[in-house]
Amino acid sequence: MATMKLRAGRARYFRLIALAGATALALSACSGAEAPAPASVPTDTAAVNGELNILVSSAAGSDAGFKAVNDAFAEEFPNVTVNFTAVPNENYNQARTSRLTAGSIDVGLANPRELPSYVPESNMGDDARLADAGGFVDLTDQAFMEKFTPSVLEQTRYKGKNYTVPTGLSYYTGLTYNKEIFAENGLTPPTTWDEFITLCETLKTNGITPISIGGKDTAGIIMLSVVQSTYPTAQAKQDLAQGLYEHTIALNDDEQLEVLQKVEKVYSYGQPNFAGSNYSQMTSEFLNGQAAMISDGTWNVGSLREAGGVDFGYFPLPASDTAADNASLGGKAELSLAVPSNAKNKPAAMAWMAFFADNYELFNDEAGFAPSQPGVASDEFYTGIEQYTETFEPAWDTIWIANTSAGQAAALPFNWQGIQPMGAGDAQAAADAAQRDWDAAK
Amino acid sequence: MNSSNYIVFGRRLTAQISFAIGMSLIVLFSLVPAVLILVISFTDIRSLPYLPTRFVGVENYLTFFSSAQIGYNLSALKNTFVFAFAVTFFQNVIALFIAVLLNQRLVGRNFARAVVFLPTILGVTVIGLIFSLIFNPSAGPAAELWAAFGQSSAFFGDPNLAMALVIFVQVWSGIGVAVVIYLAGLQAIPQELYEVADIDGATNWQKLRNVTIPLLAPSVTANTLLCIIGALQSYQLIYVLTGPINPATQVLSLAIFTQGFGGAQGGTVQSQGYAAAISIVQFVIVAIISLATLAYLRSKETAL
Amino acid sequence: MTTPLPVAAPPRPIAAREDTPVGRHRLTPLTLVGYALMLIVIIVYAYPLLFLINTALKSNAEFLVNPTGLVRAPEFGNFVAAWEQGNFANYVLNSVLYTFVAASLGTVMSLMIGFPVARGYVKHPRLWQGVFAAMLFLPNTLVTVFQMALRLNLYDTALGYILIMASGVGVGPLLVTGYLSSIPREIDEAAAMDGAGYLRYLFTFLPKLMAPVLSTIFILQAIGVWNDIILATILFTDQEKWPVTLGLFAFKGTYTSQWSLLSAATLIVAAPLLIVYLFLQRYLVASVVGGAVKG
Repeated sequence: MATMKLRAGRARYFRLIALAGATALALSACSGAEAPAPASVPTDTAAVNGELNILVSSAAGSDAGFKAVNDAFAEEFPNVTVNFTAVPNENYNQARTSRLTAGSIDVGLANPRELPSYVPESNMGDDARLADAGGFVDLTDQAFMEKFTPSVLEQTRYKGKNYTVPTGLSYYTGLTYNKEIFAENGLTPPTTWDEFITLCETLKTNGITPISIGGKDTAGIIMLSVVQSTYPTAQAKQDLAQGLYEHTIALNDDEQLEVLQKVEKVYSYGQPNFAGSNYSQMTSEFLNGQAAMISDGTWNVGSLREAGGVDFGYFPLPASDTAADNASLGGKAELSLAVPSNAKNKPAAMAWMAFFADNYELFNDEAGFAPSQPGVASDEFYTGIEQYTETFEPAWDTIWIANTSAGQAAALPFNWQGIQPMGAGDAQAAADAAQRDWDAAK
Repeated sequence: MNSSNYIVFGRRLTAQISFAIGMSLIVLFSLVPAVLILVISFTDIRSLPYLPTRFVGVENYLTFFSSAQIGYNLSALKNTFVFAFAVTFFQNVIALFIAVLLNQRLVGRNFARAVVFLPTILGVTVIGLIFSLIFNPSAGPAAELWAAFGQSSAFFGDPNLAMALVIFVQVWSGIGVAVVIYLAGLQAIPQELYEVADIDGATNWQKLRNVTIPLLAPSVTANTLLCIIGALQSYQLIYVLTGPINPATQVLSLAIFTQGFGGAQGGTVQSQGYAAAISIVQFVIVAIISLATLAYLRSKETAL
Repeated sequence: MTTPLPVAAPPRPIAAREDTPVGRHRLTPLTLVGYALMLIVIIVYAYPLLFLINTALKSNAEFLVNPTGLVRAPEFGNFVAAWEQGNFANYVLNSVLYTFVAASLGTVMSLMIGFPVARGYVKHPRLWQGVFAAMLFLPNTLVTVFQMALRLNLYDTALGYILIMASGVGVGPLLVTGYLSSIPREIDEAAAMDGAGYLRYLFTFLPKLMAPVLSTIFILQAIGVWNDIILATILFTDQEKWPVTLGLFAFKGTYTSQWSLLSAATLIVAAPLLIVYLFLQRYLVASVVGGAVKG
């Protein structure tokens, strides 16, 4: 009996180790590089059938938009069953990775970001690696791509090819303002930094909080807004990134320090204790007329309008003394759709993409984004900011590629988190801390 | 064979086979995957098709320890210890008193038990939401209470107050589980012992100290262990209440989460092999502390 | 660690703690203190929960304008809207199935492995205790469990999900071994002498003795399974198999969420578990250990 016991015990251990080893081997074998499938073209209606699996990240507006497109698609292609799944953003990557591994996704989101030569390869993201390995279908030469705004497609290109379809744009380097409060105090949207300061001082004197800031959620957008005015073009931002990586410019002198100093100044016009405020509180102060402006992105236009009561507009935060620098809004492409190369139903996926491009209004009417196609009838809000969005200018956080070996203060310059009341020091201290971390990074 | 382990039910084999059957599922889906995490921590696997997996040795571990973030990791470690021990202490002590209280014959104790238990079911997102609203610096109930004393505070935004508040919320939401476990443990104490103690003229406090607490020792062990491990590993509540990189409250598990698993749309930059490596680091830290705690508590148990 | 029980004490009915009617209790000062403390506990817990209900009753528009105050125009229809928008009708049955089967399986497994370790019927009981503790802090195995499920053909299957969830026994075995130290071996011997085999003892005698701890283990694991989001997200492609928690996705957005509907939905999702907990309260009664010895 003792030997049986011993055998049972040891046999269990051996089984365990064998299973572990076998699975490890299987893991390494199965995710080896396979030859990428050639790009396919949309086919005629009759050949499109089967199941179409779409996975996107969830939001009330875009979900409704996709539903409208899917319903229309099902009518035109009755042989296809569309399985549409929307998953919250924080779970999206895990969901997508597992479905890509299982090969059960036909249309999903992707955002491959090209790595400039001066950034170490260790900072390459999953999507860039996938694109390099041929994991996404190349959409550059597809007819439906021509429907989208060229400047947007230019900014979402990866190594000269387009793998993604931008479903909309959002801008976030500006301030949402209460038109009524401005009118009552005789104010108009400022175009230079000095005008902006004067405006804030006026509001403060009249007992209105100039800007309500949601410290826990959105205080970083102010930094991005200041950067947009200080480095208005994409080229200027790329030069900034290159200069930082090559250590020819530092985060704690010249223009770079000025960015943080201006952020500090804007913070001084926020409501008391805003470091503990969250997005809900910031919005409610704006909607109740206690604050004149909020630093927010255009993605919330729908919910602000639903709440009603405030006539609002949007203008770029003018951080520069030159009005021309302050005349554009920085933004990003929302929900970029791609077709993985291992999709099981490529014909249906391509047909769906073409259908989406052709029936873009169905999506855009519900989604609440700025349109990524020219000439599409859009919300009056977006018409109101057309002067700032003629050419698509990417915001700083879509150009900057973080160095993962850098400390937190240098993860996304500029170090707005180090400035009071978000952090412990003033602009100089925050900039110094960021530069220290940056210098220490490999 | 040790005589105290003498099996009264005949052959030992039945016990061992049923044990093996019970363990088999756990081994298959809990233990083997954990061993595999160790295995993949030596690779740069990304679990994506078309991307090869290479064996990279200890490179992932070296990256973690030599990274410029090590300074932040150490500060996170300090926060972690403060957080873990404070939560464990308060949660266990308060839960014990509540369990003893709600074990008495009081009207409405079932309602009290249910209310105390409810946070366990509600989930982190909603609890984070409620306390974010309650501790809103401009217009929440806490702000109004503070204003009554002429003070105002940023609460979760105040570096001095944030940690204390986070500990409070964590304890608040964790007491339910501890109370349930203590209640179960309290039922194991035979009534006679209390009656004998009554006959001996013991006061309620003496009954608590000499009957309840010693016999509750296994529950204390389970709860303390659960609490320490939970506090060392939990990050979701802190993430929801104060954000991922708030230096006042960032704990090691949160730092690990943001380094290994956080990722915007575009996929993560770090490979899953790296995430696995830092999970193993966390595992080792938690293992040392928990097993030491377990050994200490079990020895106190038998001593009683 | 067994405390000697008064085997030769005069026969007395074993009073379970529920038996004595509360009304006949004299109102001692101590009882008053007890009530005061209990009231404090209830307030500390009920206030945030009322806050949640308060939030759940606001319309989306009102929440934007008035997030922290008392609701001005209660929208009881939020619960219906949340039920429909979250598609809960389809998912509830799935959740019930997964939770009941996985938690039952897990409880049985905890018993099966806890008992032999507590009594030392397997070799190296201390080592196994360490393994039980280690199971509480294993590294996050989502990646590797997913790969295993994929290769075992359990991807996108209810069976795979249930098996993986059942294996997450958590604190169960530790609770079993801890509780068993208060059940003296004499009871084992008495049952064996009466002719009970190991398995019969394990599955018929012990559950009665261990009702409190087994129901605790069941409810704890049930909560874990019911509230699981992440494994369900990565394992299930087919939306027909989704548990209730994934219905909550409908309310979460990338930038903002519909907080009032999310609150209402969370209350809906939590309600069944609360009912199970209240139902299991009756098992949290004083053990009948003494009686078994006497009898």
